[in-house]
Amino acid sequence: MSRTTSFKLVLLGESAVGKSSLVLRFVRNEFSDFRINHRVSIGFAGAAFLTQTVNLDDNTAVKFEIWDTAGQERYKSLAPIYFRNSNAAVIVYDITQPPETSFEKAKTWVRELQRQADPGIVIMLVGNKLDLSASRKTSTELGKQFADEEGLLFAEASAKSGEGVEGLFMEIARKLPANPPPTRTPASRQGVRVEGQAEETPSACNC
Amino acid sequence: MPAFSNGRGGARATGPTRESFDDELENLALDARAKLRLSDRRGIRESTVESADDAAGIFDLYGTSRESWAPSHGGRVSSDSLQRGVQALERNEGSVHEPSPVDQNHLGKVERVQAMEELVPPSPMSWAGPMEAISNGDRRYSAASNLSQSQGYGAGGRRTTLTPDITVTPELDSSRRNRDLRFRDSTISDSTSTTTANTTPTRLSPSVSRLSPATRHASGVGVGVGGNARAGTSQASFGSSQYPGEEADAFHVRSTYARLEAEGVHGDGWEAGVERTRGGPSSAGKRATVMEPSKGTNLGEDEREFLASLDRYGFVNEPLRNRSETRLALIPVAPLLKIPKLPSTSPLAGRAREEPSMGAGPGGDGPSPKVPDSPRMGEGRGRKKEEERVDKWMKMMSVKKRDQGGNIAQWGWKPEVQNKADPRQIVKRVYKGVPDRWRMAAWWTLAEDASQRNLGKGKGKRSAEDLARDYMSSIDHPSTFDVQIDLDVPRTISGHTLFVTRYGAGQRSLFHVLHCFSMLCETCGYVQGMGPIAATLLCYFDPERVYALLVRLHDDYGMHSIFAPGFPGLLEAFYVQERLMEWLMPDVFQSFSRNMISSSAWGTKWYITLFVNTVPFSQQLRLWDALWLDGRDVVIMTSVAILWAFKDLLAAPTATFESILSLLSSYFVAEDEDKLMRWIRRMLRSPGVREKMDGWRDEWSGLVRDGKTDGVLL
Repeated sequence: MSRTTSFKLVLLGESAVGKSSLVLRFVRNEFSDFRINHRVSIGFAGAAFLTQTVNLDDNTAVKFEIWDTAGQERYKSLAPIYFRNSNAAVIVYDITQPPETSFEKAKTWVRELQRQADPGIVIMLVGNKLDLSASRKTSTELGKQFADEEGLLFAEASAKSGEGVEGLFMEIARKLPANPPPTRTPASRQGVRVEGQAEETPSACNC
Repeated sequence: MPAFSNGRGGARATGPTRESFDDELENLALDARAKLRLSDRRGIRESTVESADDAAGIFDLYGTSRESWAPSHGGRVSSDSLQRGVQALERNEGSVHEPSPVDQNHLGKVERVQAMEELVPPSPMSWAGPMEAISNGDRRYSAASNLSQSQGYGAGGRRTTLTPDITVTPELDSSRRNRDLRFRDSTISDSTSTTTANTTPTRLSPSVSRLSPATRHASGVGVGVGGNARAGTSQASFGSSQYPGEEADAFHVRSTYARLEAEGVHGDGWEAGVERTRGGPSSAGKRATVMEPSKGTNLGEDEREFLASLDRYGFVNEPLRNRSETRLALIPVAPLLKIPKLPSTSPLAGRAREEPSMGAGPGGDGPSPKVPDSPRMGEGRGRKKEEERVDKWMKMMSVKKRDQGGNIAQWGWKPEVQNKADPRQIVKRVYKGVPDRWRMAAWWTLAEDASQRNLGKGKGKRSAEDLARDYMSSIDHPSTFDVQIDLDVPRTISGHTLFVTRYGAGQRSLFHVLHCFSMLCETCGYVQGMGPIAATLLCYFDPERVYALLVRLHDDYGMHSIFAPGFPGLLEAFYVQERLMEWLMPDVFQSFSRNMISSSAWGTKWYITLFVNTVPFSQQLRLWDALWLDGRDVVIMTSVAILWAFKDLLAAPTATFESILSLLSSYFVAEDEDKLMRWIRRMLRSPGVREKMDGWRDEWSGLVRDGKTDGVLL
């Protein structure tokens, strides 16, 4: 009889680095080129919720409850809602972009999590679009080095080819504690507050 | 033949200075018209053009060469198309003035003044693609016909004239291309190149423009007057030149859309197209040769098949289109037959909120909803009823304004409808569903009504015509959101013929509408989620009208506070919605509280995109019918209706965090959309409900003011 433990996982990263594609590959083993398959990005506004279970061994299964968040900066203010109670975070950047863009953004997400998330959160840094490594602009070493410094897991993957996707989630699953930390506590709910809420009053439009 | 690529390498910076431009502008404005028609055109040209090098340098800005039709690229233009161009010129002999491109330039310079006086520029939507081929009588006022009728708005008369007065055209055209004349150096220089490129420049200029795909792509009768001018002034005038401080990526995006707006895109409406902007200017090398537009020839088999597969709204008729990543949930009709009454006090009053359950909860998946047979079910229903309603709407609405071409510019209610003792007739008809061919008229009129009602509450409102002008004039200004918008455009609406082609007419309009809208309000800028709304509107309206409606949503339908940073309107809506839940279905409220389901976890998308891609398009349209009438309360009440329909599952003791969120992240198909709409209508019309909702809004404002919002929302 296998034992399933549920963990919350949040995907973060800049717009169009492939967050939804990674999760779609992981959850349904599909890749969708929106231009060919007429598919709408699912984490487009707010966040999409998906689940997937992986078997660690015959007796242990890990169920991921995944929040696929919107990448636009504006939605950053909603992100704490999704990562405050998360056990794991996958922070995605695009290796075909120069490091000062999506990789830099990934770094700021790491800082954000270190500041606001549960201290025990497992963070995986992922360089996506490995299938386009011919036009790579962010080196593996750069990602690896940053991950080592910050104590993160690190992987490069391709949502398109599937390379490395299953593996990175397995690695997270293995790193997670056998028993889920009690994140769903009344104390933590008090902390859930939309960033900037206090200073943002619905004001008259200044346009 | 001298080629305008000869002088490649010239520096843009050697163009006229800003100051000299200002002076010149002033002069031009003083005697604009007189000067325009002066025969001494050469003189003007010599005073403004620096060198051919300048001109050619501009092309490098675009990172591409004009391979498709430019004569200088000898051999690319087929003799056939050349001939057609000449014929076209001959047909217009006598009626065509022969402006040198420089004239067009100068016309461009004074256009601003003139535009303010009299002109509403033509719709940039000159596409009459495959939708036209499949259009049928049923679509009189819907998407397909809009496209072909688009010229009807504003300067439609000019647009459809059979003997276009070319000297006028550049004014029309450039009025939307350049507002800030100080940056017009590119066009100036560019004109030289066109001149040098043709041995008989004055004569050939119009004919060259006719060779551009855009021209022939444009709708039949008008011969694409706008396209003419655009092509005639050649590439560098597509969009303004790069602004100081405008990032290269953003400029590349903006100029690419502008260029393709003039050129058209091969296979528009059914082919996927080629990516040209993602990844920045360096991706420009991927540019494909622009092929002959397929319009006018027989449809290929693939194209025919694609078009035949479209449903009445223009979507690819594929049973599980776009849904494989999402769960489907059938909104059951039974619960919606019961209209609850709002109790005078909350049933939960005085009771403590339930503590969140600890641990992972039951291992099972929790209760789950029924799955609909198909995400498109119900779409065939009621078509007969819709036919009947068409006549009723015909009796309700009348033409309020026509443009000079005789096209309908504005609809209005018939006086007897408005003055009727029972004003609920409109309400009932709207909730029963506006017949699709009346949607354009009805939505527009309802939005104008809402705007009228709000007059005086805010700042002075802009008229629809003003807004159309705003749209045209801001189209060539840089927006800091251009790169993000470009990322979102191709993934905004799936499987619709208007948006299926990369940089096709629909995607270009979507880009331009969002681009302009992102500059409307400094606070809001562009937010992901605006796209799906704009795309829905583009299925029914011309871009400038879509822009106007977005402004109405922003100003009059509370979307400003939804889009503003921190989403204050969203939180307010959640507060109101949670109060309604608490009063109407306390067990659901408690279940959410127990399982720590925050409203933002599942409701954000509903509120920000107004149910686009959450329910089938046909049902989304029904909700929007009501939205234009009753405003933001409709969105809240729709959310509550969905919760109400699933309340047994959501409140079940076995419900878990996962089961609840999985359910609420579904793509919903109403088993009976009429009953869903009826529930929403009856709830909103129940005595005191909307007042109560407003009261809760005030309550929330108070909490925000006092900084006491922590822990108030689920």
